[in-house]
Amino acid sequence: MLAEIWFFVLGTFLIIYVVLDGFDLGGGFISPFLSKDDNDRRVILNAIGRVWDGNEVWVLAFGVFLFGVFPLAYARFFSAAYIPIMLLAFSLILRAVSFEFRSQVKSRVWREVWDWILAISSMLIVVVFSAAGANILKGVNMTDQPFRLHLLEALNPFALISAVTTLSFVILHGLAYLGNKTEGQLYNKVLSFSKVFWVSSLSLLLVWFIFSIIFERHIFYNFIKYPLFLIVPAIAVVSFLILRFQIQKEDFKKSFIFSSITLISAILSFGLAMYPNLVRSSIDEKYNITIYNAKSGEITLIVTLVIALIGLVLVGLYQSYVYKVFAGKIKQEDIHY
Amino acid sequence: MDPLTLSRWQFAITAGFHFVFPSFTIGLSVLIFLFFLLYMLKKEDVYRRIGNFLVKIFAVGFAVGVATGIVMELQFGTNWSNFAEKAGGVLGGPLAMEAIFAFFLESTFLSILVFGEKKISPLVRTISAFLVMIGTFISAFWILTVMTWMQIPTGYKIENGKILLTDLWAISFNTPNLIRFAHTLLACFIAGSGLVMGISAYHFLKGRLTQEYMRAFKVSAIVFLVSSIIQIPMGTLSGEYVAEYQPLKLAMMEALWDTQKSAAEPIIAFIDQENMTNTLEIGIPGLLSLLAYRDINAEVKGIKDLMKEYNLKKEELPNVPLIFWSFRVMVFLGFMFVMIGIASVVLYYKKILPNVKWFLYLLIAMVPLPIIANWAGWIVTEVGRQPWVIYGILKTKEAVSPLTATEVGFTLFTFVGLYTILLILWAFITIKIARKGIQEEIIPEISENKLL
Repeated sequence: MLAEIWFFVLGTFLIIYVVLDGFDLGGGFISPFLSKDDNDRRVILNAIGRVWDGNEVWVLAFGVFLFGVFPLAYARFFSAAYIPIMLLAFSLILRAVSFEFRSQVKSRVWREVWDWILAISSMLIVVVFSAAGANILKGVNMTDQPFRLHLLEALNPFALISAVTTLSFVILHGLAYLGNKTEGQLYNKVLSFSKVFWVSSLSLLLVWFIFSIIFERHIFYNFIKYPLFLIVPAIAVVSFLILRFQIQKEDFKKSFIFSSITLISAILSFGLAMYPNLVRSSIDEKYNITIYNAKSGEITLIVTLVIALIGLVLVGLYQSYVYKVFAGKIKQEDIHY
Repeated sequence: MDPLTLSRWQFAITAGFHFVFPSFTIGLSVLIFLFFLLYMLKKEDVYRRIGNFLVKIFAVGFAVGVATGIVMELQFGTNWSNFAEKAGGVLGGPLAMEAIFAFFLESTFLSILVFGEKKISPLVRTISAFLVMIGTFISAFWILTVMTWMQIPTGYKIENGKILLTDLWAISFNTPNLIRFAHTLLACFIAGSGLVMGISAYHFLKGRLTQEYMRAFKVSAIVFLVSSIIQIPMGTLSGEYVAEYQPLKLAMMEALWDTQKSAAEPIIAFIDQENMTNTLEIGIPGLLSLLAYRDINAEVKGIKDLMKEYNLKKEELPNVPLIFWSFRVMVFLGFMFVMIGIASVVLYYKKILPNVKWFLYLLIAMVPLPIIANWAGWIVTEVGRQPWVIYGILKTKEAVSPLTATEVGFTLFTFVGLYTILLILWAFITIKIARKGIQEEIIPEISENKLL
């Protein structure tokens, strides 16, 4: 019972992370392409800079709960995917400092470099996370012994297509957020980019789906076994379509909501496809790391569950407060970064 | 080099580098709160400006601290997977507490401090400063709980070869952990206040004897003095718990090879690890027994006897001179900070501080020294924990991930390179902000739609 609950609690942290950090990663990546000058860049930087740190903590929470509740999954996967995880670490480091370092020096070169560091590290973070998700879903070459997942193996066609598709959706999400924060010329750019990235997301999703149906059909197994689960990806599709309509109407408040629902349903679908596995083996299903063979002792599961639930409520409350404080378009006086 | 040694170096370097930043920011968070509190109480704008200035410095350091801190969490899985697998069930609780009750709190409310001045009232801002400070304390507490458990395992049982959590309270609120927590916090207060003293001293040297720098100096010097004084008995207490729970570590700290009653406290010693003896030793008779066990006649066990007790081979013993001398560096600096603290406060209140130029230069030079002291202390406790990663239960060599020397070598090299660049950039930016100093600003108007 506890292990099952924990699968979905972990999923909740992951979903919240994607909805929150998704828009600042997406926004950070697209920024150099959206901005025509330093002021534009600073508007975007301040829109996402004010909230990125609190957003990122959701994945740190996900990580420590995975470590505490399913240590076997954490240990095996992180050491197996050593170089990819290290790449993630370097990207997280560079992204974090780029916010603080970027505007401290009044040099065009300095600022240009840091803007690109922010863009590339944001992209890499999205790519590593989505490639990791794709790999554990597809299955890795794992037996009951510690295994290795090398960088090139990790970037197999399925993982690459998943990563690029996710990146497109995350950029779209970032644009939906920025539509609420920007004005004038920059806003117009955000609007036109939103339309473009909606189309790219749709196209990539279709490519991904066709590729998966042909080459990685086994990932859909749970949906065939329990057709009721299909409601969730259906919600994702419907809300993605409504999103297009909201962008057309230039209603970015609703755009952000429907973009969020799309992402929430997408990650939930991923969870349903994975359940009850945490890491799939491509060699034999009996080697899968599951919530059952990876879980810690009962006291750990209970204690951490209490912490998680208190956290969800408490943090939810005060982070909502902060978002309320920071609501509205970015004005000149708001620029600190 | 073998993968185990490389992984150990990588952890040591990433941890050491990471800890530079919380050392400063935990201390700074206290001062920021104090200045905003003073602003609320005394309604003098100068305090608000000092607070805002320190928030700028805090934010840069905090970001580097977060970035380098994430690497530590990841390394449990990447380089120490056997440790993660075995200890995850126990340590997941404290780490979760850290993420849920500390990380979220400090990150979220820091945004208010940095960005929110025009949107919220001074009261809410002061509360935010308080919450950021509490957030850093809570973070320190839980990560120390993890590290104390690795030194003094408790609140667990072993079943079918697995380590299972039985009592989170026992792990968290045992006396050694509370002492180590206090000891670490004080060390950070010293670092943070030392930084502000150094910055103020710089501006005094430039002739800026304004209210801003005077008051910044006064408050930080008082914090520095009080912290450094309390740190002395706190350190001694910490040592008593080492004596009780980790006698081998104590013996190594004092290079005590042979068991002795009424053991002397060595000031210096020429240590010969190969032959397990000291060729020269100058010390204070009986003091070690007195400090460790409050009994000048107490028997203190020596390294050789303890090795037999723990069944350790000679090559498993860590580098005793490193532990011995690091300890002395830390203690020496600890006493030096008390002296400098006393001198600072006395010179300030006698109103001659700005004229004693050599002392001002000393204060600037002193800024990195609390970091050195902190590093020295961590070397003592972490190297002194070897050859175990979980004391008496899991050896370090059994805890490492099955990686190749090439890949760990590669990441180690990348970390050293990246961190060196980061350190230079952080120092450059922080010095730039420090030199620019506390700005004259008009009091901002709080907008009508302020919340609360």
